[in-house]
Amino acid sequence: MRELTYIQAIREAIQLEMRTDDKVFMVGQDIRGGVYPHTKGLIDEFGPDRIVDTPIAETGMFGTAFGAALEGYRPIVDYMFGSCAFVNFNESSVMTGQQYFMHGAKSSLPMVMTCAVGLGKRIGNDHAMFIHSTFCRQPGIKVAMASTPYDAKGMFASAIRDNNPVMIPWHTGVMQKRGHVPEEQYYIPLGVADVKREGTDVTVLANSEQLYNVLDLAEELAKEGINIEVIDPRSFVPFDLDTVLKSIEKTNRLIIVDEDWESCGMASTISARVVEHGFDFLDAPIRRICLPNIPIPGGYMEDYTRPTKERIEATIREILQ
Amino acid sequence: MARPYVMPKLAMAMNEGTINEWFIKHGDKAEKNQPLASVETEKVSYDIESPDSGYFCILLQQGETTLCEEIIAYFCDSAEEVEQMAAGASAESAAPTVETVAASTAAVSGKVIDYVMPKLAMAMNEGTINEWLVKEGELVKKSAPLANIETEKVTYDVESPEEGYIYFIAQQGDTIPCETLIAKFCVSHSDVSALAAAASAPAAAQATVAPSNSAAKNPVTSATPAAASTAAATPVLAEGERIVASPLAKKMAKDAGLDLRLVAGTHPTGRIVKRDVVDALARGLQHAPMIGTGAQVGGIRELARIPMTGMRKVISERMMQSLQTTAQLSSAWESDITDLLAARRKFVAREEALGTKVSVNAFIIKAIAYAIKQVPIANSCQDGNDIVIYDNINMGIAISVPGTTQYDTGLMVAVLHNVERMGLVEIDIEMKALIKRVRNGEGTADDLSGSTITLSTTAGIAPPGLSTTPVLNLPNAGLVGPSTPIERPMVNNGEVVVRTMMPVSFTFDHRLLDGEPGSRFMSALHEALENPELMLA
Repeated sequence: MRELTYIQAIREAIQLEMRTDDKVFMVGQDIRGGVYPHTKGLIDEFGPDRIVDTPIAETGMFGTAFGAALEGYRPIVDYMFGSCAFVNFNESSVMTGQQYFMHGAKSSLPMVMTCAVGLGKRIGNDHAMFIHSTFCRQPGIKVAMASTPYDAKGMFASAIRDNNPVMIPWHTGVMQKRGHVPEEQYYIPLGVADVKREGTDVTVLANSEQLYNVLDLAEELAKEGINIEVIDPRSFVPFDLDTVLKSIEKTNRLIIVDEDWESCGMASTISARVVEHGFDFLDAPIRRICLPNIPIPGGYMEDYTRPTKERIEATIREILQ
Repeated sequence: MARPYVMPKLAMAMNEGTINEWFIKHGDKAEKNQPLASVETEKVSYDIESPDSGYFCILLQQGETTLCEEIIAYFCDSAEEVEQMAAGASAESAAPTVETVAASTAAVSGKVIDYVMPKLAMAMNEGTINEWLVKEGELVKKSAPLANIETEKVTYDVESPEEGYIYFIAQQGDTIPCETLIAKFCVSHSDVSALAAAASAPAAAQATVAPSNSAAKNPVTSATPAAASTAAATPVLAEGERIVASPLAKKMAKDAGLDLRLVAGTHPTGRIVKRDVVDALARGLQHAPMIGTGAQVGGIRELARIPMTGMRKVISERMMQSLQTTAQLSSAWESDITDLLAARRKFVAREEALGTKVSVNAFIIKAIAYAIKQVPIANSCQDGNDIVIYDNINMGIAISVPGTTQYDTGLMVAVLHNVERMGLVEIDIEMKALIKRVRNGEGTADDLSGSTITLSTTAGIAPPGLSTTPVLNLPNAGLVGPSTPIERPMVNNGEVVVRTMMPVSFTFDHRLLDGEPGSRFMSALHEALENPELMLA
């Protein structure tokens, strides 16, 4: 079976979609050279009209994409780092999400926004911060994050094919993960969670690098007879609540690991929905393991803020009391 | 030395597992961490890895199911040992070898003294450890209180026969046959730790000693039903107090019609969680009506489910044995106790001087003693091919004691020894003291054994005039069963007058007591009851 890294899987998804549909193009900073290798070499195949390299000017790259999408193109905006999408926050989130609804539902806005996020590389607040919760709060935008190379290719392809604006960041902590990726085009629908490991005692929701932490932990705790069901939500909007409810009907306990900030974050929203729809399944309070509400510190201090295996393990043991 | 491999407990809720498939053949060499078996639980199938290496001896075959912590295989040091273990297992149905114990205690440096379930009374077959009065690993002095042990009849505090650091093999709540190992005395605390480590690692030591122990160590199966049932239907919360329960526990309780006020929460915060509801339902607590729950139509609902254990089990066995091994029959008549009651009133009037308010039962016992003097064979038993007629009269007195719940009762026979030598007042005082001791669980072994004839009265409980057919209390050949008196118009000196008539039954074993002596005994008893002055004889 062919294996690719996560970042190679994204590149292949973009490449295949660009070959399939002439309307797909990329716009962003440094995508011609490729600071991150997901755009590396695409310039040679598709030329500068479809790999549109820009200066560090988020409003410009976004404006190009927005206008083109209204004209029927399918742009991919690459912000390089998640927090850069906040430079033109009004345009990228508010306007983008509401365009279709505010203007008589006449024209859809098929655009993909992508960027790197993620703790663990000690690259400081602006480069590391997560943005999915912030974008989840804006109506009209789909938000997803793939955790595995296989999911990355299928979900990026689906995002490009989607007629809605899609924010699909990727975590620097998983970009070198290797895994099986089929050569052909395939699509993983946005809005479908994936049970990465079946278990009976507690359901843990985790994404990206935290998914790997939880899977490791599940392996270790299985030796003690603790069986953890691990679910990767994959998409935050739309969110696959059914899969989570089905799981806690069995396990009766839910822990949500989310590296975004705790306050008004995706973990809080999931908790609220589960309580609203699955109250009677719960045998213990839902627990959230998130980033505390402080800017991400630089250097080694990062390790003291983010969810760790130790914190997750302690929470699992508590919830099982 | 062969190391046992037990059915692993792969999930908190796992009680038993089925071997779907062994990935290794019997006798093959297993490497550590190699896939060993596919085990199916109630919920999920697991592939388990080998925790050890060695020649593998399979006891539990594919498709078979067993409880967690039961030995299902051995890791052996050689192919020969595999054959030995397999042969031993088939010969003794997987009973462990002595060597296994030796292996698991190999790390113990000093001498270890076994402590077995003591036989505290002749009739004691097994005992339940209500409470260890010392902590495991503690240094116990000789003669120090060691454990509270409950037998079928009595609860004893036993003293330590040895000095040493104690290691428990049987746990609180376990019921163990007499002379079976329940603890060990070690010379050092580290030896206790070594024993504990040896026991917990392969879970072999306790499994080897008594099969019931391993089940008892499993929290799911031990569950001390008697103790649990005692709390049955007793509200944990006062009326109006807030119930703290998980949403799931509340939903489950509502669906099952269980009142959560009856349930104690086991979460560290006191919250009632799923396991508490599951446990309460298993104990049959869901009878309590829930406000707003409509009456169910059709089907049956359990009010309570009471385990037939302990005293109940003994009563059940003895009653069946009595009816199945003797030729017993009951006869009933009525005796006019008007004069007896008049005599009693004179005693009652002198209660202070006599030191007791003499009861009707004391008169009845005295009357029985009178009748036995006339017909001694009524005070007898069959011993093998002999009839044994007793010289003294030890009056077994059936007394009702509380059961494990509000619904059931217990039954004990307290024994008042040598009543033939006692006066009425002495009988009354001694009988009351005896019953009090037994009811309080302070009865001695003598208080509960050695009866030669039995008195089982339903007076005051049964409707007036009822004649009963009591079941013999083995090995006694006779049982007198008075019941509630009734006032009747009787002919007395040619006139119809109101007299108090007491129904009396006599059950006797026709194997050794024919109708002729039986009837003579009943007549003698009748005579004494109607003419209480005869009791002076």
